[in-house]
Amino acid sequence: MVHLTPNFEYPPQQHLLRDIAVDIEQVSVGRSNGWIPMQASIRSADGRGRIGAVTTLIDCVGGAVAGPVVAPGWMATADLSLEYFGSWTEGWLRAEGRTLRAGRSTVVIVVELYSEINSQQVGRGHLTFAVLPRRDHNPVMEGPLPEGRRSLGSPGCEHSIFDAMHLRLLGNGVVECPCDPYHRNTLGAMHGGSVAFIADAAAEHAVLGDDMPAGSRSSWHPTALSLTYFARLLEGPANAVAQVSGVHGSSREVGVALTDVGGGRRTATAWVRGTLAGPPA
Amino acid sequence: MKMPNLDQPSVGKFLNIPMRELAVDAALEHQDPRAAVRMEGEVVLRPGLQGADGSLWAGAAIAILDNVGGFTAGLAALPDGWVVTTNLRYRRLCAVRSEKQFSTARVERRGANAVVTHIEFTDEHGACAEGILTSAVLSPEGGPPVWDRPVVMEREPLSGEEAELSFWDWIEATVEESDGTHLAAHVELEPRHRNPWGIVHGGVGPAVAVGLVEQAIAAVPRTVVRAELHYLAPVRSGPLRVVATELYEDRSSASHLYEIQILDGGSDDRLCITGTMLAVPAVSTEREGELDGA
Repeated sequence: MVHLTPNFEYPPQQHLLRDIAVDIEQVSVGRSNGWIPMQASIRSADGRGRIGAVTTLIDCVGGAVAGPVVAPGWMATADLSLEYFGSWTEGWLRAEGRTLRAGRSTVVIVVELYSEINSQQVGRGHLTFAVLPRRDHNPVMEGPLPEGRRSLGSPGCEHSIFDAMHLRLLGNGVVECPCDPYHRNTLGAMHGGSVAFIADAAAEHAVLGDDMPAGSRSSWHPTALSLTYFARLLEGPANAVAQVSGVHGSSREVGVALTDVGGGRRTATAWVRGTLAGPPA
Repeated sequence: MKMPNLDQPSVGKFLNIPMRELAVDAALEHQDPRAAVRMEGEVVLRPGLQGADGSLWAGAAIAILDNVGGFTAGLAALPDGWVVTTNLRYRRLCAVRSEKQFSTARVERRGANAVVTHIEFTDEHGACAEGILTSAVLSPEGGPPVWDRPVVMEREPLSGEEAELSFWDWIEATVEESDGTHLAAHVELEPRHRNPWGIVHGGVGPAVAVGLVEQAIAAVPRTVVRAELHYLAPVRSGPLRVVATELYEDRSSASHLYEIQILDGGSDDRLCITGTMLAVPAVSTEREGELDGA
């Protein structure tokens, strides 16, 4: 039996997962649940929880599902996709993750998303994890699964999550973000949640322009986000360049290229799809 | 393993995409030299590959993605092994206006166990669609195929009845249910549906899913503009079964999101491919800026 409590304090006191207040429950090997509460810091201009926050939750739940499945090895997210078709505007967002396939080199997980306030399904995510051989610095996983729901933080982030991340909008869909302990995962690389928020911000920036979000006349309503990882983002800062590459009526397809500036290499590509709504009447 | 016989009836032969390997300077691209593989395929938009709006049909595009992207990933995996698809991502960016377009595949990452390939469809105006293919590296029985490098794969134009068929008709799927929200079809497998390793080509099931989803509301021609597919296991026995279930309808954009499940009916309905497809009304889609007259 295994559990996911690493042999060092994680996440640290100042960390993205604490600010968005992730709760995790490991139901059994191959099955985990997670929750995040709605709070002002992650609410987007259209009133829904930001797609970056939802992606962070499925990344955490996916990791909690995959960890015991790959033990004693470790894993890294290779591919993530989210369809965010419903409306989560208040209360808790609940994620239910389970293993679809556990192979020697990859583990595939599906995560169903529900708004707890009305039990409506609001989305579905899939994650593919690459199975890695165990290394000395990986967290030790042993003993029984921890029982019940564990909180990684509590709501109360007073700033916009982008401010807490020290994320900077540089214009024309270009976003930069440091890779400091606030953003790191258990492998020391930038957490998938931070990568998702960066892609979320860059896509919105590319669609709405430099006056986002407060001064925008239009509202951006992202409905899908996918991430393909090429390499771990270790050095930072992370640089994201977003470009609108397709227009279907009010829908927009945005491509985001993420680079580790310090490491000098491309680390991921993100696709974001959403709809653009006009200014309120 | 020797080079596969390209004259046998197959998905690749039906798609009829001549491919050639392009020279890449790995040093300039800051890449692992093993990953410096780039292929270009020429797609002639014959009627059999067109969708309702005359553009490249998403079902054919996904199969081409799997073909060109998978072949490129396979070359990058040599000499350690060959590849199988694990994730396929497709999105349409605009309508195609040209009879001829190119699918260019480049390797984004070549790891010990996986290869990621980006594939872009372009016409003379620019990008029309793109895809990302992630493949797992494995050692096939008999060893990986041997190719003379750089690879040049010529194709004779299709002739006879095959040249007149749509990809949907060529696959010969039988629709079982089509009530708009729950759709199902199956394919009795023939040797032409399989790849040289005896498993069903990764484009067959998704193409059937595209056909189901686009025909779900017959009165409203629709186009699949996005697909996210996760390959869990190969389809070996058959019949190949495809089930599409509506997850969400966005009335404001008239778009429909479907859950896709592709199963191996001969293996206790084992789930082999799962994912989603998004269909929108089949109207012309524009490049960024064109709606504003830019």
